Amino acid sequence: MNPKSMGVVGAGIMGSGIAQVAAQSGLEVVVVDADEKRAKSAVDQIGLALGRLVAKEKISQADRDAAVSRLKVGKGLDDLAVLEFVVEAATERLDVKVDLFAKLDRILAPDVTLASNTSSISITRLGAATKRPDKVIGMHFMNPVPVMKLVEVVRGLATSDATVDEVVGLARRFGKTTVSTKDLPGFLVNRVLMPMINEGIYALMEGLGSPEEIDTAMRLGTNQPMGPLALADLIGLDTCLSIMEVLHTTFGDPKYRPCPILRHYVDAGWHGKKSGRGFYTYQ
Amino acid sequence: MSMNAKSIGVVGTGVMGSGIAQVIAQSGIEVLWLSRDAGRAKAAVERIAQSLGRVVAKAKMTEAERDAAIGRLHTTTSFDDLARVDLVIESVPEDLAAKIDVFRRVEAAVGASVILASNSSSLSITKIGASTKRPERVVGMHFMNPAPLMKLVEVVRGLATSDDVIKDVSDVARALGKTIVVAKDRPGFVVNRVLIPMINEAVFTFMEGVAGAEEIDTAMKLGCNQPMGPLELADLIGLDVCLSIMERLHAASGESKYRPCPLMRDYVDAGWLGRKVGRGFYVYEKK
Repeated sequence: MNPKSMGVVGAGIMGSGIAQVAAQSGLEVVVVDADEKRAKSAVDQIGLALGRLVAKEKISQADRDAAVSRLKVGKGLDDLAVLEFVVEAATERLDVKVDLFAKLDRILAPDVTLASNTSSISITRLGAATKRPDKVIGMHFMNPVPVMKLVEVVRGLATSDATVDEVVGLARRFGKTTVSTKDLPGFLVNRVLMPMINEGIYALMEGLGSPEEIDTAMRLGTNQPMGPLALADLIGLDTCLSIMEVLHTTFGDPKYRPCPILRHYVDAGWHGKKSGRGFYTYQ
Repeated sequence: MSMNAKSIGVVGTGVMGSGIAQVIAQSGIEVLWLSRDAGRAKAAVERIAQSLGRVVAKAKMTEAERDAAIGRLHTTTSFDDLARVDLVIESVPEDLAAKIDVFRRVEAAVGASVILASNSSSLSITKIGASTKRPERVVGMHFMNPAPLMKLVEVVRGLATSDDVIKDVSDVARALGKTIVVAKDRPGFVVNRVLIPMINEAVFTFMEGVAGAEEIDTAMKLGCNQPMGPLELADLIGLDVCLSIMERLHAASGESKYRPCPLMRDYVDAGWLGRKVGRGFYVYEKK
């Protein structure tokens, strides 16, 4: 199946980014959020973001207008009933997602694929909340979605080959490169990246160097574009902590235990760049 | 003492020793380069001459600069010839007993004020220092591979290392055009402590079949803008080197989180050490 329309559930940063790339690729997109105002605001913001691309001569005014005309705000999940594909990008909480998947399963036509943009929740578990586990799959975009080229396509235990093929094809239409992964916690990127960040935080806690020194060492010593602590601030320390907690709980392996000062920073509300303070202070 | 090194001793003619000797000679400082045998030393100088020849061919260096740099490389097989230098940088294989032996022999040959530095990537500078009569003048100077290209030097402070020595070797590293980070003497210092467990985790994902080697590397390059994927980087570093650093982190800390991935050990057992042998996680064409 080659969908012509797509529903996006959740109008946060990730949902907005997914709606944008889908609309730019020619799909009719309906965005819904528990808060309808938030969905409307997201669609308005996409219009502005595409306007900036026009100003930079990256896309034409006509392309922008066409993409914007393909974006609609839905009042609720029922407005997704006629669509051919749905991506869920709601809050990263198992109870919320399980509830959404059960509801969407009742609303959508039986042949529609239901994808989750989750970064750390089990696709297999979400599939089991529906009567179509073969058509439930992970489609994990990176932030910021319009810029980052990767989509992790995550195969739950019951996901069918046809569903994997469909999602790989769709991601390619969005101009993305896909990597197919098993449904193990953190998939690939977060499984490898987050423990490295956590170890960088341990190095800080143990006084091996200051944040600047640790980041300089990693940039100049390994040619990484950002040091692990600056990257943690950018991702958000609350997000880093929650992914480490999922790895730790799900694998039951103490090597994934979050560094105690990561928890302290989150407790203090020092969540990184978005809150103005993390390992560094931001204007 | 503020050091204005005119000549530096280098012990070891492997990849790292050669890179360090090259960097020093290119910075206008004389190198007294100690090797176990004259043949190895001669071959090492020849390799640097060829490598600088390629730099000249790219018009990034003149013929005269190349000749001057080569002229600053003075090879020897006698520890006694190190008597003239202010600083000796040891870069022999990553084996504690071998390093301690070198430090004792260097110490016997040089004056009491000479600084003894180790390019070790993971051994204890404190322990090496304790094997000498001048632990306050023993320090880590950890260059990255390839030393002529990579800008970082980790200056590692052993428990007894003096502030003056940290300052002096930091000045020397800056004179070599490097950026320094002063690190505590903990296993792996900063770079290997953070990098090698990430590589190890990527090998775990490969072992568990989360995805294939190319896919894992693609995910890390496109998903977090790393310049190389962890598995191709492991092949470049050498899987034997990665394994030995993980073993050192594991043994020194007693932390199970540093246990080497069993598959990494299998690869090393098979002799699939990475790019240098033509096979690791990838297969390489022989040059």
